[in-house]
Formats: sequence, structure tokens, C-alpha cells
Amino acid sequence: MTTVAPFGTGDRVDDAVTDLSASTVRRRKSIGDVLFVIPTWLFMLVVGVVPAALAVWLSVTDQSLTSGSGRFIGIQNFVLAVFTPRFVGSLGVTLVFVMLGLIVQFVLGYLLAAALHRQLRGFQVARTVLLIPMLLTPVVVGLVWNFMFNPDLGIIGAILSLFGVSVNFFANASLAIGVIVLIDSWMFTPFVMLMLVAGMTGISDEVRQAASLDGANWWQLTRYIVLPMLKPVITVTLVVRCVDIVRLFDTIYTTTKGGPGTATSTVSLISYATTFQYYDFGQGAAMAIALTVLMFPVYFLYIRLTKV
Amino acid sequence: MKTPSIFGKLATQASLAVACLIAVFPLAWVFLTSLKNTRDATSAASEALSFTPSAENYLGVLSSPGFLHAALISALVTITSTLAVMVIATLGGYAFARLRFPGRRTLASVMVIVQVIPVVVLIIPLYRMVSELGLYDNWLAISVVMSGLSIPFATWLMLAFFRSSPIEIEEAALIDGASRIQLFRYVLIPMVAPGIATAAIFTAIAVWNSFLIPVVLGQTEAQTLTVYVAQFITFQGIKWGPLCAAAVLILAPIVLFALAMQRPLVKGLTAGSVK
Repeated sequence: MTTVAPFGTGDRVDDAVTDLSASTVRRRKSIGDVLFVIPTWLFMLVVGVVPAALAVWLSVTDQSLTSGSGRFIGIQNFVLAVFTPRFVGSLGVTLVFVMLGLIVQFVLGYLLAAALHRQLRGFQVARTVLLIPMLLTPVVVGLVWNFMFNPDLGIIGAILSLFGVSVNFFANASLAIGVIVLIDSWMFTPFVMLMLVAGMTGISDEVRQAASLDGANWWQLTRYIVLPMLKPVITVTLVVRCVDIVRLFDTIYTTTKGGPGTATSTVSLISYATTFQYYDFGQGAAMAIALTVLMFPVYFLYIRLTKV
Repeated sequence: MKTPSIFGKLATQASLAVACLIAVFPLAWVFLTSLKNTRDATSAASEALSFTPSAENYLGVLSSPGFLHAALISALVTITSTLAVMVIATLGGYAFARLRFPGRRTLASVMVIVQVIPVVVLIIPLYRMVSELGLYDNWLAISVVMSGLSIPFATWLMLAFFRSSPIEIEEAALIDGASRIQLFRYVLIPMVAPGIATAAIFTAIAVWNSFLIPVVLGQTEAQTLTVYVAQFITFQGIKWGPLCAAAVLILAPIVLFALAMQRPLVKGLTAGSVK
């Protein structure tokens, strides 16, 4: 499931606090206020800060099953696991998923949002139905599509065979990539749609009407009025989707398992396999750390967009 | 704007209808297959609609000890995590919305990082930590980790709800001499109850859906439904009938929630993203 932080583009952090301590009731800053976030801090330390620090430590020590001694070996794990064709290939696969996923989901999501925004009869039913896929269990969604694309029993193969086409989607590299993009888009195009609809309700009709009166056609209206005004929402939506596609794991795991060959092996998949199938914790951690470091600019943007 | 033509209206409605069909079709197909016996489930797709419905698959799945145990674990993990997150996120959301506590920026940044970081980064060390503590294959460990990972989103949701509720009522209560606990008990919690419910639904769905954490932290004793169902594909020759029945049973609660609570869910998904 996709999660969104409270995003905003306007006022920064501290100005946005509607603060009791600034009101007439309580004038002094209270250290006691920290008590409210102590449980949050505890959980963030246990599942976030400590594991992240430990992951960095694992990535620079010898942690393989055979020779694992836990001693410091510098960048050796990175040399063996990250600066390799396998890792670079998986990075390429991840990038392809991000690019294709974002394009498909944005284009379709925008068109659906525009359709939904007209609020014609039945739009609420459509919104309810389209809400469902993004909430579903990704592992099970993967199994469902695995079944749909099954070469022997799958309905998609059966439909295609009516046109004399017979293909095994899981044996062809480009088709397998297409299947993964399709599954992710099936789940999350409606998410993009909901975000854009929410953004569209913020655009006043008067602006559109004025442009319309001046003779702007649909494309000009979209290109010069709607898209520029939606820019903040679009940025947030695409950043969220990018972050989520980069860590895509469950749906790949229950469909292509990274195959055929390494055609759909993302960084998450090879890092998982290195760690939990070949038991090389050091190299697995090095791959995961490398991915995170490469994603820093996007994470930084995410934090900056967050209006906490 | 010029009056939209009838044709334009129809085209708009038709495209939404097609999108809905695409959204529903895989689910309908799996539900259909779950009602078939082994022979009908493996017959050619062209004869997909000619079969006698049977509860065979559901009876089989529901009487399998593996499924029932996994369902119990999933329910336990989901309920405990959701309860923990509800309390912690309410306190945290209040603090972020109303208080100027030290370390505010740092905590917010850490929470966002926990929210976006690839789970593989955390799962490798978490596996080591949990094993060292002797908590491997213990549902409590899964519950703690899932709570931690769910706290940021639930907190942002509560923050949005607290921000949109009027501060004057709180001030009035404080002037009247209410203590912090009374303030929470009688003023704040009733005011943001819809927010707490929304946060609870999102947390419950996220925990129920989780796979990577449970599969690494417990494969047998603490096996969740997602781990149980993922095993189907490692067998030689998948039994699609029972698999589809299991899939329907896992997805059904989510679909029912989505249909019943669509308004708060839509609001929660886009919370705070648009001013």
C-alpha cells in the first residue's frame, strides 16, 4: 500500500505549528512535551536508526556464511557485490520499472482523474471500485496475475489464442517486464488518479472558464492551465510512486521471481537473494546500502516536500 | 466553459466503466476459479464458465491446520500492531500539531526516512537483531517491527486531523483547569475519533498485507497468511483451486473495508497532500 506524508509547498515547518505554548494558556516551553513522542522515538530507534546503522556496519565487515568472521574488511563487499555487472544490471531493471511505471501511471491516472473530476452520474461508484486494487495484499495480487498469465490455464493466454497469438509471458524478457509494470500500474494508477482529482478540486472553475472563453481548446487548457496549477501535487505523487517502485518486491516475488534470467531482478530482489539464499549478509547489506545512497536525492526531496 | 456534448459525456463515463472492469476482472476471475473443483479449474479457459459451483476449495483451505494457524498469527499481529500504532500515533500526531518539543525536526526526518527506505536495508540487520534476542519465529517480533514501520504514516494522518480541529476548544478546556489527561480523555479523543479510525484501518491493512518482514522473521511458528500463500508457488504443479480460495479469503476483508469506508480511505490517502 502506498503511504503519503503530509505534503505541502507553502509555509515551512515552525510557522505552521498552531502552538499552545504560544497562546495565552501556556507561555513556557515544556520539556515534558517530549513525553508525547518518547514511544515514537523508541520505535524509530529500534526499527529504523539502529538497523540502518547496523546495515552500514554489516556492509563493511565479513559476514558470509563460509568465512564470516565479522571483522572489518573496508569496501571489499562493495567491490565484490556493487561494482559488478549484476548489480548495475539490477539497477537498470529498477530504473526501467520506475520510468515505465511513472509514465503509464501518470498518463492513465491523469486521464481517469479528468474523467472523474467531471462528476458525471456514477462517478462515486467508479471512485469506490478503483480504490480497491491499491489496498490489496501485493503478494496475493502477484499470485492472481500469475494465474491470469499462466501459459496453460491463464485467461489472458486464452484470449490471445483467439487471435492466433501464443506467448509465454514469463519466458520472454520484455514481456516479463511488461507484466510487472502492468501489475504495479493496475494497483497504483488509481492512486495517482485520486491524488490528481484532489488537486483538481483546488483549481477554481473561473480560471478554466476564462481560458475557454479566450478560445483555448482542451489541449491548451491542459497544457497551460491545469498541468502548471497541478505541479505541486504531481511532484508529490511522482516522488511517492518513485520511492515505492524502487522498493517493489512482493509482486515480483510471486510472479517472475526476477526471471527470466535476470530480466526482472531489481536491487531489492538480488539483495534479498544474496542475504537469505546465499547467506552473505555483508554483500547483501552492501547492495541495499548502495541503493539507499543512490536514492538520497529523492529521499531528500521527499523530506523537503514534507510539511511537518 | 461550453456545455459538454452528449458524446463527450458518454465517452467519459465509458472510460471510467472500462477502468472499473479492468480493476474488478482479476478479482472476479479468481473468485470464479475458487468455486471450481480440481477438474473444472484445470480445464481450458474457453470453457471457463461451464462448471458446477462447489465449496470444495473453501472447505479444504478452512480445514487445513496450516491456513488456520497462519490466519491466527496474521490476526494477532494485525490487532496488536494496530492497537499500539493507534495510541502512539495519536500522542505523536498531537505533539507534532500542537507542541514545540525539542528534536522535532530530527524526529520528523527520521520518521520520513523510515517511511521511504527500502525494507531490504532494514530487514537484514533486523533479522540478526531478532535472532540474537532469541525472538526468531515469534509473532511478537513481527508485530513490533510492523508497528514501527507503520507509525510514521499513522502519525502524519493524526497530525492532519489535529491541525484541522479548532484549537480554541482546547484552550477553553485548559482555561477551565482541565489537566492534560482530562484534555485528552474528554476533548481531544472524541474530536479526532474519525482520524483515529482512519489511521487504524490503514495500519491494519498495511500490516495484514506485509510480506517481506514476516517471511524473514518467521517461517513456521509465526507464519502469516501472506507467507503461507506465497508458498503455493514453490510446489510442483500449483493447485490453483485452493490457491484461489485462499486468495479470496485473504483479500475479502480488505475489499469489504474498502467498500464500507471509502470516504475516510480516500481522505486518508490524500491527507495533507493538497491544500
